[in-house]
Amino acid sequence: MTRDEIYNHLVDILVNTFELERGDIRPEVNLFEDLDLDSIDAVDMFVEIHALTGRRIDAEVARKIRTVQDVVDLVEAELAKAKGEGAAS
Amino acid sequence: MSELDVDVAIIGGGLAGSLLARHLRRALPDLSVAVFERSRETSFKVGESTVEIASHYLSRRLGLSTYLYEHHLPKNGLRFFFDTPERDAGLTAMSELGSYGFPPLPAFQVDRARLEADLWDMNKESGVDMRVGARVSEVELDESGRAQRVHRFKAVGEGGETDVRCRWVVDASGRASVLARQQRLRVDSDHPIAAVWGRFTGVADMDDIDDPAWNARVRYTHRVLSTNHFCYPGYWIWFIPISRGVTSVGVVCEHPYFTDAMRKPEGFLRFLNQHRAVRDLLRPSELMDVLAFKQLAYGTTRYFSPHGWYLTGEAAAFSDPFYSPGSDFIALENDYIVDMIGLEARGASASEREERCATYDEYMHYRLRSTMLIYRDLYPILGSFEILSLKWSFDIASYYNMWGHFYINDLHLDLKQIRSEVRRQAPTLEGQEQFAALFRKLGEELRAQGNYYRSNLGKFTYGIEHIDYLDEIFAPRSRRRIMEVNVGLFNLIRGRAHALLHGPDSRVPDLDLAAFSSQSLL
Repeated sequence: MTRDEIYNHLVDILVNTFELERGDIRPEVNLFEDLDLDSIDAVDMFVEIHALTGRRIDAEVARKIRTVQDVVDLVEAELAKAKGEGAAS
Repeated sequence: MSELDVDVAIIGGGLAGSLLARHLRRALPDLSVAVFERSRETSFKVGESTVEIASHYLSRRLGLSTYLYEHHLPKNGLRFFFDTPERDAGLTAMSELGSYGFPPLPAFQVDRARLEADLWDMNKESGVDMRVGARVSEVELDESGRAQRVHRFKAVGEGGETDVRCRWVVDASGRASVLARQQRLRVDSDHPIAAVWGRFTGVADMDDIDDPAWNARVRYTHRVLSTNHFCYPGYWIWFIPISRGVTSVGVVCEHPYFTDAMRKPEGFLRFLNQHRAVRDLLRPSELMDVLAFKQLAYGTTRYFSPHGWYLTGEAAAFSDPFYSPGSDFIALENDYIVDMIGLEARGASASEREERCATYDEYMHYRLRSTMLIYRDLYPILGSFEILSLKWSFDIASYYNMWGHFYINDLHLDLKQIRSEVRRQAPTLEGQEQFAALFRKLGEELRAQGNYYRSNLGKFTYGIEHIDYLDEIFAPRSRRRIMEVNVGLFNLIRGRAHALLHGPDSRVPDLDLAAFSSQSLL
């Protein structure tokens, strides 16, 4: 998946799961302060990210997430790790 | 046999049906409305106390605020008194949880018989076809899906039979639940409580008690205007003033405390008189009548059908009267019914209507499930001032922050907002379960230690002094802000519970919101 594909996929997740308006979602917006998500929503979001990457997200890493871009970076990194592990095995 | 064609037929002219008829006339004046009421006149009914959501519905949605102030009583919040194990505390010695100022939104103590009679008159005047003494049996529902839908039923009254045809039919028949029973929608409840109540004249006025300190601690507001609860493990007794010198007094108890003798005046009075403070208030009074229900709570598999039939009020469900939620449910259901009828009348597509109907129905189920969790298996803790004060803090926060905020800001009619709430119902209900388990544990532990009653005399709390968001209640707020406030309160309540369990110096680390619904709070 390219960065753009990841971003678009994430926007779909946010729109479909959290009843958000597509137009409100931009890379720099803060998930919690701008989009009004809270820790219950974050749990739902990480369930979706798990489905996308096949990897469990470390709680410490998850806690540092603030913006949409942070999630895109995280998914990209996790997908790369998953690919690396796939190639190694 | 006569015939009647009407747009909306409402079965039952009690509170739910009469309010709905008024609501329909105000919101959708082009539609004709007929109400079929079995009784010929309104009668004494329980459910006098309204809380904020219902009051908002009555005063703003239905335009009844001046009427309510003129003909009913303003309510001075909820109030709870606690007793000794021997039930021999005098009223002023009892610990008390209750307000010293009127609540942020007004609520009312209504005289049900009078309110319903007045609504009949107002509705007739506004063009509602009001048929009293009319019994409705089998309703032939039209679920064919055709545009010109026709439900049919026979209404039998003194003047003979009327063959009624309507596009929408609403079951507002209360516990008779004409449509709900016919469609086998009733669901038994796992909350086994019974209620017995009566009307009294001449009950002593607790505001006449000459005890300066006791009067001062509520800042001279009127305790008699509160919904007053006397709380015991397994049951509680209410005192509610309903104007014209009449007081409603009732007991709600878990089944083991209920006996058939309590259905009779002698048995009811014998039960009440076992409690000194209650006995003192009743001493000068006379009992007018007694009514009882062995099984108060029940649910329904469905509230609303996309085929234009709906349930409202006790025709659908009932939870528990402890916090007076009955008319709150009517407010929600009637808002939804009027909205769905309006949508169809304006020609909305079948898919749009079905979606709305399913979403509203789901929200009602969620609301009832959540309401049941406030009470289920929690009667054993009601008699302890310390535990109920904590539970009250939790319950009032949930009510104001979640349900009250949602209703009063009209978010309950916004599909996106409802879906968002419903999506979060699993963690929300789980969080409620965890707090219920914490309160139950407190009850068991304090009992085992012999401390259950230790603070039941001489204490007073408003129960909201640690709430730092009073100014924000019902103002538009983001969900994040609401949840921030909730998390603060949840941590505070959990911390206090642990202090009760393990001593005042015990500390527990703060949790984040998601943690409250994913782990034990013990």
